[in-house]
Amino acid sequence: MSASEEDFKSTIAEYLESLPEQFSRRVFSNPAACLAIFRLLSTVGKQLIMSMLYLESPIKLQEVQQWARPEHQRTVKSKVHQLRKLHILVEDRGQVLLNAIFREQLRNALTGGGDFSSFGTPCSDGNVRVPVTLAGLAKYADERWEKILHFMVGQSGGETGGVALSESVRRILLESKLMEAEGSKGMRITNSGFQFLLQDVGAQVWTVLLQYLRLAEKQEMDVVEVLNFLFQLVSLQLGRGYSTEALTRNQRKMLGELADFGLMYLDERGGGRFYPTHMVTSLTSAAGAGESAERDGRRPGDSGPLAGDESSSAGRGRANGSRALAASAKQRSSELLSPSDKGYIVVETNCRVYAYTDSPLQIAILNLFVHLVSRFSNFVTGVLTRSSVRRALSHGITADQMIAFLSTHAHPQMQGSTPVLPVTVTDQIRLWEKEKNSLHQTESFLYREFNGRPAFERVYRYAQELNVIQWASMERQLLLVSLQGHAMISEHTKKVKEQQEKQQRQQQQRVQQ
Amino acid sequence: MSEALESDASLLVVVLDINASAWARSALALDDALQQTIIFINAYLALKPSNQLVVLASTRQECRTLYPAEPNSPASSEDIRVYEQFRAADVAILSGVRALLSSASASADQAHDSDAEHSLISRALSKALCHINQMRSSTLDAVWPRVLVLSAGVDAAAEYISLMNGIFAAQRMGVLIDVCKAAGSGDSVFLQQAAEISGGVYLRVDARAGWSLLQTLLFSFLADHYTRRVLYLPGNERTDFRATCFCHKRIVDIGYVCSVCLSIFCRLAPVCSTCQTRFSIRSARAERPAANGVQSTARTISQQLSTTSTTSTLV
Amino acid sequence: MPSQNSKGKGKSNAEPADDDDAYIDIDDTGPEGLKGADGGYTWEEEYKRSWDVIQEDASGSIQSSITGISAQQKRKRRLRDTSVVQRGIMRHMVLVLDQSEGMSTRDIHPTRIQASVTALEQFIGEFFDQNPISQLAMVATKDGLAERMSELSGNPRDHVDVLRNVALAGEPSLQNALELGMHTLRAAPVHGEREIVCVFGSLTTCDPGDIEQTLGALKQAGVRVSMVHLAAEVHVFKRICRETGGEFSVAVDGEGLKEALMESVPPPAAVAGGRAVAEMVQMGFAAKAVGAVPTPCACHHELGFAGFICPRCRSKVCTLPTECDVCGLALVEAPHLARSYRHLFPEENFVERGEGEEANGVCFGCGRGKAGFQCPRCKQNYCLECDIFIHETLHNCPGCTVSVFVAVAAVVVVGQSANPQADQATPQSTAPLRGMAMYGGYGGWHGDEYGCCDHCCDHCCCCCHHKVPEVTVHVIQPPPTYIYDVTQTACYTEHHDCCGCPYVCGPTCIPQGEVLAPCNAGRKVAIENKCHEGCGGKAKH
Repeated sequence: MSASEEDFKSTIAEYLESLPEQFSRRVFSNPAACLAIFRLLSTVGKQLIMSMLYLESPIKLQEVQQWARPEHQRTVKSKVHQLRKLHILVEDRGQVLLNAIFREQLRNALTGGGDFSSFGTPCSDGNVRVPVTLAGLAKYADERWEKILHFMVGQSGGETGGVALSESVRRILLESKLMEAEGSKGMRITNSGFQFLLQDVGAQVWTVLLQYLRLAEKQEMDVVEVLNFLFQLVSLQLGRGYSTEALTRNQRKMLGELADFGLMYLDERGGGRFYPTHMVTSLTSAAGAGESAERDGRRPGDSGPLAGDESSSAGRGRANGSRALAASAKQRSSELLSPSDKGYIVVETNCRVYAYTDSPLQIAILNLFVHLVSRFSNFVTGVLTRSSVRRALSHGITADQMIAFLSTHAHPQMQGSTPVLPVTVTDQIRLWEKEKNSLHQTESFLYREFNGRPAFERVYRYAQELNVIQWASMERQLLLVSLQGHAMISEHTKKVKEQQEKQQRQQQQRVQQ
Repeated sequence: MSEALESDASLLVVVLDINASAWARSALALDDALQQTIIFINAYLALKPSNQLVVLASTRQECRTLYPAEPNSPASSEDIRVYEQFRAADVAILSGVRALLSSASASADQAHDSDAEHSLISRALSKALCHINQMRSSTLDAVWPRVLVLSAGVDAAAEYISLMNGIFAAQRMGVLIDVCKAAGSGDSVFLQQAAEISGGVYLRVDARAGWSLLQTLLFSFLADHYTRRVLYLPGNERTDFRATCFCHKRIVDIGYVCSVCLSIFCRLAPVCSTCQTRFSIRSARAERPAANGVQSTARTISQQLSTTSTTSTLV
Repeated sequence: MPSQNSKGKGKSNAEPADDDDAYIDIDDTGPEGLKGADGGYTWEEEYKRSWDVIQEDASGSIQSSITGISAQQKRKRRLRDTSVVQRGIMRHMVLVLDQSEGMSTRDIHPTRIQASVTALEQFIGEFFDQNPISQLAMVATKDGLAERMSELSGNPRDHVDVLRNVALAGEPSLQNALELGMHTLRAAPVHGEREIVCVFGSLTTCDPGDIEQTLGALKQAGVRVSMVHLAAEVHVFKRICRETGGEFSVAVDGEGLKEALMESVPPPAAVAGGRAVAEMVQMGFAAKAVGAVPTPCACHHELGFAGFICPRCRSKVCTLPTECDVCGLALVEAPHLARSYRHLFPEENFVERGEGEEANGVCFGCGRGKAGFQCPRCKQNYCLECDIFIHETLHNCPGCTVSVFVAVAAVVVVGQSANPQADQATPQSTAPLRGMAMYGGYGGWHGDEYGCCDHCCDHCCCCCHHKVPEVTVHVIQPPPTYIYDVTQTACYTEHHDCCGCPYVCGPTCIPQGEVLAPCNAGRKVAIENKCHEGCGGKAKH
């Protein structure tokens, strides 16, 4: 992912890292939360935790690092570091041990110990008049979610959309800078909003949940309570009703707000119950194996979000947890979509795009970077042109995002081939991105009309030492230096000038004498 | 095959050896071992949402698939303290083991005592490989398969060929066979070879020496293909692949192999006692020369040899 | 078809290929052979339109009929000969590759020679995978000559390496290639199966003499010749194959070439009264050793820590199975022998069950697919996927508990001598051993018949006094163990006949290496015409 992704990199794992220790302790006191956090970690991190889960006595940190093969020492070191930042691993005089609470509760999660209903209180199906079906839930969730996305797209097109969103959703959209206020009531989509649209649903849901956490913090709700409840929701079983009776007031409020996003389905009748939808349950658990939508992104050296790179330095290692998360989210993306949405785009080598869809939302999203030519009742055609892609690029959407979007939603007929998209098309999109990025503006100073060649060369050499030259021409005696360089060089030239003047004066004096 | 990526899912086939008479002699009770294995299985499921699991159990007479359970399995009880995915697996395993043990004890009377501790490991391994093959052909995703055998009984010599066939098939398919010898006195020589040939891990948990089965499982057998590239696992000592001769059960360095049935003998014999082939030993044959340069030499030697042999026969 | 004029001095013959089957199998024994099923000649039959087989279903899709056809093909491939017969497990094979100019024709993508090389590479890998204790050599024929590409060896690397550089020239010579192949196989031991497999692209052969004589010599030497031809059936080629007991096939594309070659991977059934005789083969079970300092191996002279030590001469080799480069002993590990057992006892073909019965449940193997096939022995049902997997990869029916080959099971028990389970495989254990009778033609289980077992004494007389006549056993005692200082680079392969000993000996042989133990010049040839001491000479001879 590119640098414009910065805003989205702050995922839940990093959020957890930023929590102070006493907060973490409280989060860990719930088995469901421990399990959910455990699942967010990197593979090596998980193995380290599992190796130590049933160790009673601390072991030497060195020993842990000796488990790593020589070529992977660094990776393991960074994982240990990450675990310590999450307060899962506690270090004491060179010896490490799992956080006692975390260890206890993760054990409980695995063994079914513990004494409270950390995995929700399911209702018996006895007193439900209208049973909630899985298909119904999926439809409900997709409708809600699409409504929000459509709101974002619709606003960008300047249409009045006609979709009414609840106040909490609007607030989160504004708060997360996915949209910004325009005029008195209107809202406009931002660059990050465009990127958001192209992400798969899993990543979108995480983004929203994270924003929800931030918002809760601002509203002075108890972050730990919110977090624990979120993690609990994530580990619920799809298609099962859970009772709202045991919930606190805050938690009920959260349920209502999450229902606005389509993450929950609330049934107020009969004492109140809620049903998690597939959008939330598939965040850390999977109903089945993901489709191979991202085959295209598996090439080595691809800067895609698949976290397999060993070369990550300690600094980048920090982000690895979130990268793994993004990868697993991506894997599930296709199953998050309802079956009708699975793969509808055909891309030809001549950059023509055919989309079998009648959803205004999908058409609107495609319209972000495809020049749409004609529209039929269930079918849209368009062309990827330089201008359409450039427009998207100027919105901050990256080439990788476009390619990922096209290949994730590629028609089943295209899924069979590897890579999914024609190479010509992906290369062309990348070229257009490079082309756009080929010009950089850098403020600089131009030095010209030097006092002869020696003067030019002296300044040139000095600038070279400082490594501030942007461009230089020996023949024409032109020198372009960066902003910071200018200050130093002008100082230098001043000094030199003074020295020269001094020398000249001395010479003149000598001559006079 | 390329190398496993961090995001790739695993497919674990657990083969439980629940031979009652083997466990009866063990320091670790079968119930405890099952509990600990279930925790291990939960831990495996917790690792990745896309991880797939198959559990097989094998007794002396039968080998059954416990998980994924058949659709008509009893409805799971409501236990709010357990994560749903775990519970489905746990319930299926426990009820399956119970059913299998009760049916095994029903037919136990007819069993001969001599082979009471044999379990159908080779059958379980064959089934495991069938499962893996099926799952592989039904998905496009990169799934890295491995087999964990929780062994208790002793090797059944009768299973040797079929077990070896299974091991070679696993090696071809890139399936690791991990073996945890959880009960029983000695090492399982066959399964040691299985781990060695397929690139898996063989460990014997000695409950008497205070080893914890659970800790061993979590520490050594949980790691997937990717993690094994990053971390060291407790290694196996190199298994000794020297053979034992058929005639005297001696370990042989240099043996004589029947060219028809490949039985190994420690000395020359005129008839193969396995397949009854009569060996034609018309004349002593010189060792085949090692390099071209010696060919002529070898020929002269064999000529010399034949003359010597005729003379000596005459003598 | 490529046009090639027959310029060869020897016999050449060409028949046009006019059938669209993958393998042309025109029986040329006489005009009757050309007659079709209904008595008429092939060309008198109505032309079969292959596209008529494909039929659209109700929705106009041809998917179902294509699936049907591919399932049929899969099934056809997996139906194998499963009779339990003696097979030549230790094989010695010469691969002949036509490197004439005709091989540059592009009718097989990308060229005939390229396709052949890739197919051969796969074949070599597969061959050694399934026949670990066998050996290969490679012969090229071009410019009317035959030349040796690689020596007889059990290391796949040796052969794959020489395939990298092939140069095409002139006309091939089948006779020369066969003569050279025969010459190479002469060094093979008598118990081994001798085979020549040719990949030919040319329709002609340029031979120096009468190929009939070569054919006679081949038959006499018991060499089985098989050929895959890349263009068409040639009378003389086919006759050689038929008369030596081999297979002749024509490959029309790269896939067909691979499949035709793969036919030669499983060991062939031994011909009754054939040349190959049963023998006891001396083999060394090399132990793995890891040194503290890297030492060169005797086979490739590459430095390395780990290696296998030849139990006879103590030299180090880097891979198994192989033949010791110093003393020539065949070095194996017990699993290598086990790998070949499945050829001796192949799985039986499953029986396809009728459509109506299919509902009877799920596959016994994977528990998922529809069970449409049944194992005739254990009566378990399997799906097509598992059926193919079981017969092509696993070679082991999960339902059939115990293999018939029980007796050998105890043989390769590894490791400690005090093996409790080893005793359970004594011939007395009951039912499954009867399966040995399947080893037809070699008598029943002697343990039952004669009440003799392997424990009573050393193996010889009490088993053999019954039928076997007096034999003279010559044992070449291997020389005493030489211990070389392997840390020094020694030219193990340069042997000199310094004192009439085929093994490396004396300072002349390894000038750089230091011989730590002296060589006893020559060998001791012990001639035994009496029984081992083990039975106290009770046996009558």
